[in-house]
Amino acid sequence: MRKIFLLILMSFLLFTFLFVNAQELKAQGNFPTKEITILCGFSAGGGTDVLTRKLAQNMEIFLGEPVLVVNRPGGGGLVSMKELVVEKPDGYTLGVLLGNQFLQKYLADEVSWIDPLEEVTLIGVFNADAWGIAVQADAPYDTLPEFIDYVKENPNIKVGAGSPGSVYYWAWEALMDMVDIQLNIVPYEGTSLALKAVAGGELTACGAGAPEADSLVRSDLVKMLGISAENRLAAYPDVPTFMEQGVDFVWNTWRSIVGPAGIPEEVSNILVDAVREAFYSEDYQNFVDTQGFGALYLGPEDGMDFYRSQDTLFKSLMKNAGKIREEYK
Amino acid sequence: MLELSDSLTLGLPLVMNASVLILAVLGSLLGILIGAIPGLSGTMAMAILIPLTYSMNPQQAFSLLLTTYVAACYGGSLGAILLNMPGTGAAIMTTLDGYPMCKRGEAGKAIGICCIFSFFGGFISALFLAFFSPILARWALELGTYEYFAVAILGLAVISYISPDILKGLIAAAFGLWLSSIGTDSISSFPRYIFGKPELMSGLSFIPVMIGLFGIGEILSSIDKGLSRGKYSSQKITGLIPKLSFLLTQVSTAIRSVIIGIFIGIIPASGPTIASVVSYGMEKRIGRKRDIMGTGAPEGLVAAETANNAGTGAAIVPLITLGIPGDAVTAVLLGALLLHGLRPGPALFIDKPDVVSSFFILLLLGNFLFLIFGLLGSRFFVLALRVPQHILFPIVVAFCFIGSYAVNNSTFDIIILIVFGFIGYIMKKIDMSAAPLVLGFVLGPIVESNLRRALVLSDGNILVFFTRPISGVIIVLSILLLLSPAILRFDYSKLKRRIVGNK
Repeated sequence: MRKIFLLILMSFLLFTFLFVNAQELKAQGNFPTKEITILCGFSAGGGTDVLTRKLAQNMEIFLGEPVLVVNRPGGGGLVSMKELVVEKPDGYTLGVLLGNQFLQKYLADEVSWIDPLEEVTLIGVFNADAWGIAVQADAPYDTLPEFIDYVKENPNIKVGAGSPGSVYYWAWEALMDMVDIQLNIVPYEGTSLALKAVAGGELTACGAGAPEADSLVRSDLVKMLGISAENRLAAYPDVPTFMEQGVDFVWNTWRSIVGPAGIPEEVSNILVDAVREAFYSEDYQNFVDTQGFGALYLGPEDGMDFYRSQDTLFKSLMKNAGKIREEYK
Repeated sequence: MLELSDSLTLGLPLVMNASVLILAVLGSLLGILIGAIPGLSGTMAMAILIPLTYSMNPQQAFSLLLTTYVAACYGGSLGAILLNMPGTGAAIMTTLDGYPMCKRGEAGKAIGICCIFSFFGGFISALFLAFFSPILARWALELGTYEYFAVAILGLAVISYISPDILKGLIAAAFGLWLSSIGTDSISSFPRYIFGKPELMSGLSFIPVMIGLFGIGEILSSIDKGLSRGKYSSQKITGLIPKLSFLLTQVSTAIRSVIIGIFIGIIPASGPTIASVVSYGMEKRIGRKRDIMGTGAPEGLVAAETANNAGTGAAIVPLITLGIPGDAVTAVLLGALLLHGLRPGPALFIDKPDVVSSFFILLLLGNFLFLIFGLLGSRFFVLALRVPQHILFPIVVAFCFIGSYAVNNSTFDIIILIVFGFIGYIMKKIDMSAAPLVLGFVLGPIVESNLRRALVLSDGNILVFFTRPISGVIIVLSILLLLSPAILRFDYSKLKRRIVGNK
């Protein structure tokens, strides 16, 4: 009796072993064979969350396996990135990397940051939201050049932004460097509070994307001077770009899908295709247009060039502003 | 444009839909349950529910979310009364009088009072939202950095009233303030007390801190005292529906609390928790029954529960009229609105008045639903008291762990839970109330960032806090609150005698 039992057990084990092996063999030639997880470093319901879920839905159609979005909020996305970079680079765990990871790299030395240039495999950049300037609706200036003139005549102008850990904050610093003006940047907990402060008269201007300001614009409390994109947004055709106004200023906050460093090329190629196909799908494009998100796609190579240019840019800006950590000074 | 008379009628066709109504009932039951279970919080419920609403239409999504939101705020009082463990942050003040009433055998009465006055607060505040939101919005626009700071100071000023022992209360509050400084500071993005842990960058999460202090802490101290097998099981459940004559005696407290709840709720980042604290503190200062508050006075329950539910509707005012989320829960609601292509703000009232109106109706409906379910269900809620503690507590501990993990899907938050469980136990042991600690923890970031921001805005001029009318009034009120015990206790006859004697 016992022998029979052992025999059954052994054959069962052997069978499982073979099966697992077969699975692994299959996995090498035929990625993916199981669900893929995307770690989203921001809470459910936020912009990054909804956009990533929409992209994941469309990646799923291409890959034929479920693509799950798991929220790991905290530290402006750093918690999810820290978790991602120690995962096995098999392509089954991905993450969402935002522009602010490049800021965190230089900001302060208490936490060991991740270095996006070294520690991740870029799969694709799938969104870029343009920064813009919102001012009081009855302000005596309508364009960025007029605003710049006003600032030059009236020193100690106060403008609102997110915290220095956010990409939009540094748009003001970059603008100040470029057109040689002095502004007093006041950090708020989020763009919506800064916008309210403009509408309530506490601030002269604040940085905000066209979608964020839209509601207050249409109720005649604030107006947009323009956005720092190359083209006008499909959802907001009335908001001009700074380029049209003769100021060559482009500033985006962007989102990309990444995996841990060292994903084999045959796997990452499939993922790159999945992100690209998902990005150009009608469903995703419609969603982006109606929600007022900015559409930008960059493959791994263009994306890495973009990463490097952002890295140099942030480093020099933060150095100029004196907010960089000691070792880079 | 949404006319005053249309506020509650225009959206009716949208709400009168079987799926919407079923979701409202589900949301209400779920909210009461999640709110009542120590460990599970409204914030967690929202974080879990929101991805489910992605595929729904706006009315369905908001039917589920809004009813859960208001019901969880009421449900929190059940855990507070029956187990001395507030189910939500907003119910912390409810423990102070609710649990003593339960020990006295008046659990049924306490539950009935909480249900009715939660409804009263929530209902009035929803009506306010429906009829006056454009006016409230304009007013909310006037409130800025200076006023937020002033309100937070008012919150800190009442600490001395919510702790039986003032010195221990202040120590706990100071500890809470310090804890709130952990994390990246919001003005200069400088990391403080992080010790290389990215999880600490956004600061300690509120939910595990609160659940640890009140849930795990309470359980540890009960074990210490020796478990009982359903100590209060013989309790008869009577007085669920309070007599009209009793309700009439509470009118002044309720009205005061509604006003405080709405005022504080409108201010971003404060919400129902601070509303209940300030209301309770005020009641203890000026209420008729102030001397017996904290020993099981219904007035304490009325003050806390009316105000926190009044805070729910009010917290939606800045969200729906200006697009500003006040707290974690309204931030989730904002996400849900955006997802359905609804960008909150004055324009929404012009473009989609029927949708806005349907939200008001759903909010009112949510309040009615928890009133009905609360009163019908209270007989069953009290059964929790009959469960022997050696069965009840392990279940609660499991929920505490799940609840702490689920808000951020973070195992680090479980460590925070355990640490604060022990801190809560030690505080109980040395007879130090944990409410001031939570208050300091919640108010700390508001005080700090608004003070720093205000000083940048005013170029370092501190007088602005007094010259801005609303902030000036609130700060003076806070100072009076702080000094009033000294002023009131001062022996004026002695002074008089001295003056007369000198003549």
